[in-house]
Amino acid sequence: MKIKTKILYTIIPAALMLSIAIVTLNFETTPDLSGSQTVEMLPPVRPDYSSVTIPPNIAPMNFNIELEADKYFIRLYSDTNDKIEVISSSSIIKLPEKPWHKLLQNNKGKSLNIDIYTKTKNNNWQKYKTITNFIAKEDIDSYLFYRTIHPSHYRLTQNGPVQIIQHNLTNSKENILITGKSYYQGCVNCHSPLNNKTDKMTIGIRSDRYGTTTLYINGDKIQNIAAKIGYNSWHPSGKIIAYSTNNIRRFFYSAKNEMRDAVDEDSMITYYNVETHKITMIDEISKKDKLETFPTWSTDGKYLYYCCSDKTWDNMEKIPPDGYYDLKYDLMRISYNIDKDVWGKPEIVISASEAKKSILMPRISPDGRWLVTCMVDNGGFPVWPTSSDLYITDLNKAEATGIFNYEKLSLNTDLSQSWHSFSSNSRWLAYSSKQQNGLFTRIYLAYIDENGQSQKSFIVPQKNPLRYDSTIESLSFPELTTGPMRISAGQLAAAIRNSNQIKVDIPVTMATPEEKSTKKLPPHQKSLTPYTEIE
Amino acid sequence: MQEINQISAKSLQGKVSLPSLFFIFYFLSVYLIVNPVLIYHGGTTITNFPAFFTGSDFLYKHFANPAEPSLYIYAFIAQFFYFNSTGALVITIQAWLFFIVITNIIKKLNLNCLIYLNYLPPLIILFLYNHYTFHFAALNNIIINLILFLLYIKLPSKTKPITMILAWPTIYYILGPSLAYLAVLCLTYELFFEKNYTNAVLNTALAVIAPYIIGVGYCNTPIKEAYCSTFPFSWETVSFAERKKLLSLIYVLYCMPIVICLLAGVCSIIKIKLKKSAAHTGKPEYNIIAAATVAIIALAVISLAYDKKQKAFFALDYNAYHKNWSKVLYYADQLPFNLLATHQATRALYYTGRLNEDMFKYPQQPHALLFTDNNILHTSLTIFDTYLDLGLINLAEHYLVRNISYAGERDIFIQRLAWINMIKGNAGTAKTYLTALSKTLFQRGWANEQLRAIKQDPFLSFTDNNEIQFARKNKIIKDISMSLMTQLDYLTYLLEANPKNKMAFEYMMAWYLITKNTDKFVDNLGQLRDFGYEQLPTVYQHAILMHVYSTQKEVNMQGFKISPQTIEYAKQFYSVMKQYAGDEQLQLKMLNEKYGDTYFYYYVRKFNKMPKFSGRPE
Repeated sequence: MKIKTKILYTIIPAALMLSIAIVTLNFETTPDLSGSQTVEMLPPVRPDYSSVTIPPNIAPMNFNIELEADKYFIRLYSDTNDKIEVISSSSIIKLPEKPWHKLLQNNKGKSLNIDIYTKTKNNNWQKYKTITNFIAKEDIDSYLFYRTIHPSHYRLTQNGPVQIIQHNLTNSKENILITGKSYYQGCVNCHSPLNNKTDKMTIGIRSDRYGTTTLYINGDKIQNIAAKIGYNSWHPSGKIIAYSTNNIRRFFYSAKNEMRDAVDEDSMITYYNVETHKITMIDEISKKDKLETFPTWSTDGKYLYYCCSDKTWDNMEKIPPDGYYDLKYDLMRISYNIDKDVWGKPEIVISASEAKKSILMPRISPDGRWLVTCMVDNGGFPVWPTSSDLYITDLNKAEATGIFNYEKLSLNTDLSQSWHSFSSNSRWLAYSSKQQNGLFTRIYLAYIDENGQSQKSFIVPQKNPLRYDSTIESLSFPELTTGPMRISAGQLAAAIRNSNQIKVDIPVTMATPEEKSTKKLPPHQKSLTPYTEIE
Repeated sequence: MQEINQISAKSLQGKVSLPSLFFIFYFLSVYLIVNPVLIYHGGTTITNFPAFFTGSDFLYKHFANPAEPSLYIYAFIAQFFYFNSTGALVITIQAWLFFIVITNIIKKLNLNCLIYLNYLPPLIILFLYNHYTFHFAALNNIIINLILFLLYIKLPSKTKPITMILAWPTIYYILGPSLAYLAVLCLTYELFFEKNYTNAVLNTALAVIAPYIIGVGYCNTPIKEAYCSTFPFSWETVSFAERKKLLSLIYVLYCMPIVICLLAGVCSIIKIKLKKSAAHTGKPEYNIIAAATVAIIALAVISLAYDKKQKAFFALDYNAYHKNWSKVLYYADQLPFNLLATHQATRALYYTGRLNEDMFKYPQQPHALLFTDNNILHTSLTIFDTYLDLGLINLAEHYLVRNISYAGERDIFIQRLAWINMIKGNAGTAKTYLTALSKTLFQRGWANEQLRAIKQDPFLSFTDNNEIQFARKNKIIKDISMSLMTQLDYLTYLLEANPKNKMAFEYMMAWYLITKNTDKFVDNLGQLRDFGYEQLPTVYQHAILMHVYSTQKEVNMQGFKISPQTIEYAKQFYSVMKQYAGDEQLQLKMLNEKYGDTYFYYYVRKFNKMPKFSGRPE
């Protein structure tokens, strides 16, 4: 035998044995817990994953145990024999993916129990009260699209541009779908899929270089529409998109804890036909003395719900304008016949004066039964005011009785809840909330039962459970979809930069908001900066 | 590298190496003159200084796309600019590496007569930093590519194909499109020296294919980004005025090795026998001494010809952030007509108790007091501190979050945002900022200390923390849209919130003086005693006199007196005015010469018509 061969025969088994030894040494079996002491408290875990209802297909819900200890032992179990046991010297508990999914899938509709033990220096294990969660029977849509942005909402950003993220809810893997970085620090928002699928989707784009456009994704094709399609909603047929055009003016408060706010200088609702590329005004809801916004279609496509308020100002010399603090939006709807392209008359669904709230962002569950809205004390932007809460209306009951009753969902907190979106099976609601830290929005998932009651929600799980603790960006505008985007980030970016945009006929009326960016500043204002030298 | 050491060894003959001497001078120049810490701070104009965070989340973010691994490493190295000494060391190492690789390339290509060019890149690098530009990533990319090129040319021809197949994609993943630069160097070398066309083709093919497969195909990078993103002509550089500064020198550094290769190639083709280097003729000392002497002289010239104004601007901002008031005033003196300098000087004068004595030694301008007018489109990165000091907490927060969007998640902003939220009692937000800050290299200690404090005081009462209590006492209470507020509104509301807010009071008085609203100024004299004034400050005395002169109104002096010296001074001023009354321009010139730093002059300067001076101040 040659020397080289001999060496090989020696080295390979030795390496194998060494590997096995290392693995064995690191592998710890279930500790002896027989003498453990019981602590009569729920173990503090972060994120708060206790007493929550979770989808059976959710990714491992890794968490941090907020207790100091030398060792942690965690056991997850349900009614079947499946269980997961983790022993860790770190308080950050990362659960194995395959056993986790097996445990959840085998125990749909049952409880998920989590026993946590900690071992202190005196070598005694301490057992805390069992955390009990509930595994729903219904899956959640596998993908979540959301936007990341710094709370300044200032798009020229170097180290964290405005992005749309595609998040796989079943394994917590993420990828950037669109980054403002790929088209000269642009802004991206209003990503809107048709019927929770990515086959047809629109994404609103703003860029100093490439203009304000809308990407229309249709299967494997992308079209870049030369129109600003703001808050929008697909007609269930997929033929038209109703959208609002808003001329938004932001402003900042001098003392309030949440200093950001915004007002629509003007807004109106129109619709875009994806086949003819024609934008059509809806006379009834494009009135110059009204502010119309947040359109959303009923599941059968027979009604367009939207929010509407009287515009009490003629100009915006003052921001906010006079009357802003009394500004409240009614929830309205207008009937529509898509075959004849005929609109009915607007009718009030929920009156702002009766609710004593401004009603915003209506979204209807795909089964057509539930209408969820934001309600705030005043104004048209629920993402900032702490008063923003989610309310639910049973549309079946409303159709039967003619009365649109609404009820505050139990998931609300003292801070803002907004930007909600239903899963395709109508059982899960994704929404943005500031409850985690008060400023940066995070995305939560809540189960809505058959009676329209929300169960305790939970923050979207991440591989690193402490990721949210140091993320100084807001994650908002969640949209749930059943599958991933078939078009790559590169293709989307290329489409944005493509000068071959689809021109559309945009009707210009008195209600057409003026683009702020087109306003020219007087020369002295343009040139004066802190770097300016004075004479 | 061995060869250069040999040269050095020969030239030394037991003495100090001349390149070493050069780089010692180089380090000292950077350390003493450039002050890399100013670059770290950003000086209001560097918006691409990278933030760096420890932990897996930041790390993973930098492994998603080509070029990001190198950016992660560069971001880490850039943090050494936090200290002058380590920053100077990083810059010196950059320069030294460039020197070494150029020396070796020249020698390898038998262009020894051009050996003196090796001092050019360090001098260019010094010039770039001397002018407070930050082309850090571009410089690193060039240096790394040149090192890789040197390694490449030392490889045997037979092993090059397999090396390229394995290395080129890896290099692309780590360095990104910079691979193209390496490929151009290698192509030139293969075509002109080795004449190995197979390797040349393979090199080119891999350099084209790797970005497409890895960048476009695998990482979904847009095609232009996949091929251009790390080059200086990328939109990420050329779209920003401050990043384009001295970009031409970066192109020079990019082109220099290629030109050397081409020159050597052309020479070898036409069989020109270049003069062998001194190192090969056995007389290395003379030439190297000559080169080093020239280089050291050039070094001295470049060091001394630094951009003084730019440095003053950076240093002003840095010292204002760190509250080094004497230095703020020192640098403000060097920027006599700059709004930001005036703004920071006003703040420094307040903190040194000289605002009411010396504020008109700086060219005051209404905009510069608070910079809150809507027509200010851009802001200094550190103006937020004035707002924080005054009690305009939300305004400070507003500018800070804008700065984060504009210049990245820099620790200097996050620290202040954490502090602001501690003042506001926002435990959750403060903890988020502090946790982010605890992942930075230099602010982690402070952040962890505050996190411990919050743990003990979850409702953020901070009763023992005098700084926070002081800030809370001064915090503005009036809550309206800031777009509706004037500078005077801010100051008025601050005094409504805390009538004992001395800074707000002095700024309000300053505002009245700057806007020449002496009626309002004299109305507020009664409050001076509440702020501990025993005597009238000089500027206030001047203002009262001007008010009396111009309005002929009586002033309730609230028990204060104008000093005889001030009255005499005013008389002299008035006599000069009278003396040149016929020629307004000459009059202003003469007044400026003698009284240019007084309120007397400021007051008369802006009026279209001179105020009538009659009567005597009592």
